[in-house]
Amino acid sequence: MQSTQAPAQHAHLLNRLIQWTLVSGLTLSMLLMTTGVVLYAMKPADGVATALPPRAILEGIGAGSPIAFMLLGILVLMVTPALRVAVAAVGYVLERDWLFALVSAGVMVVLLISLAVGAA
Amino acid sequence: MFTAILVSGLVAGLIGAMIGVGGGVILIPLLTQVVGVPIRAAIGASIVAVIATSSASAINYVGNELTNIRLGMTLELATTIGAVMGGITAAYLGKEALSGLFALAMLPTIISLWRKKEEDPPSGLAVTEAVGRLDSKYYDPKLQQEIGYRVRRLPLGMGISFLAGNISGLLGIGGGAIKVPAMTLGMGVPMKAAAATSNFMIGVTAVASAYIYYSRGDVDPLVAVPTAVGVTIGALLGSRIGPRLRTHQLIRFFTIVLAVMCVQMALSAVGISIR
Repeated sequence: MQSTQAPAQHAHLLNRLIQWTLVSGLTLSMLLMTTGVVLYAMKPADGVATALPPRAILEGIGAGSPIAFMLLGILVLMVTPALRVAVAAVGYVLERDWLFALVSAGVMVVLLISLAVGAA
Repeated sequence: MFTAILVSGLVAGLIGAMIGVGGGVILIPLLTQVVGVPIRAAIGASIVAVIATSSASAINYVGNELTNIRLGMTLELATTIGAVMGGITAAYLGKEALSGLFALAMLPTIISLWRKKEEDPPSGLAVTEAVGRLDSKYYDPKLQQEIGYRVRRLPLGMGISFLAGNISGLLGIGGGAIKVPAMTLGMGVPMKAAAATSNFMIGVTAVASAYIYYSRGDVDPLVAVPTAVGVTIGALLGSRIGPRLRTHQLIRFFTIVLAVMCVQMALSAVGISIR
């Protein structure tokens, strides 16, 4: 009996972890974006930038730049689903569910390829 | 401009959640045809907004087990590869070609909305024990019974998911209108589980092309941020009030609105703009 219950509980825990990852990533991103919008409403003179690398964004955050807050919000939003794939991959490894650990790792590889394509 | 974009996001998220379609298909025509945002910036903003709505849909899946995470993860292998290729291809297409393709991509949504019944009966096969690794079951509170299903024709599902991912990466939409019928009609997944699993997949699929858009400079924060914030608030509101307001007449009305927008997108593909 125990052998059938334990995997079901693990699966439930993993689902909750995945949910928690997505909801907290979204919340953090929305907070950053809203902060950016409020700062922008106060001093919209800041020049618009796109495609800033993470380091430049963090420097902008230190300087209180509204655009930097907006871009960091966008980056957090983009990292969240990738984090969810990583959480699932680790979860499947802990469950010794090798097939789905491999599937999650495969999705992760494709996401890394997209980073490389973007950087090229 | 900033406020108009925020309102467009709100409207797209609200209507999308109420009638059960992804935000992008409403958002991009609104941004380009009504607000006057260039289509490339609209697609870049939409791909970011789509990630937000997909993550937001996770709020609702506490305990209901509708989302088939194993199936979603497997199909994501195909959607993400498609999305990367779509994201690359988009750079080589002009705004007319993108508008024309968008008009075409709206057709599956319009057709499925037009044919929508008041309530879809669960189409899953009655299975007492889960045999395959992708099979699943969920509890339907309305029918007061557990609905089990077997996942069939995985290669077909993978093929169509690749196509859906490709369209998502190319046009900045979720592609649910293609994936959901593939899962229900092709793979034997009940409607509710297919819709939840599709929503789950959309975030990761969008990320696969979003970074390509971002590094190309097609994600303008002054367009993407008000869009994402608006769509998220709209979708959360819509999922609360949607079930109560969702009537056949309402769906019909918005289907006609979408059809008009589809014609506008098709016209801008040949250089005619009516605003």
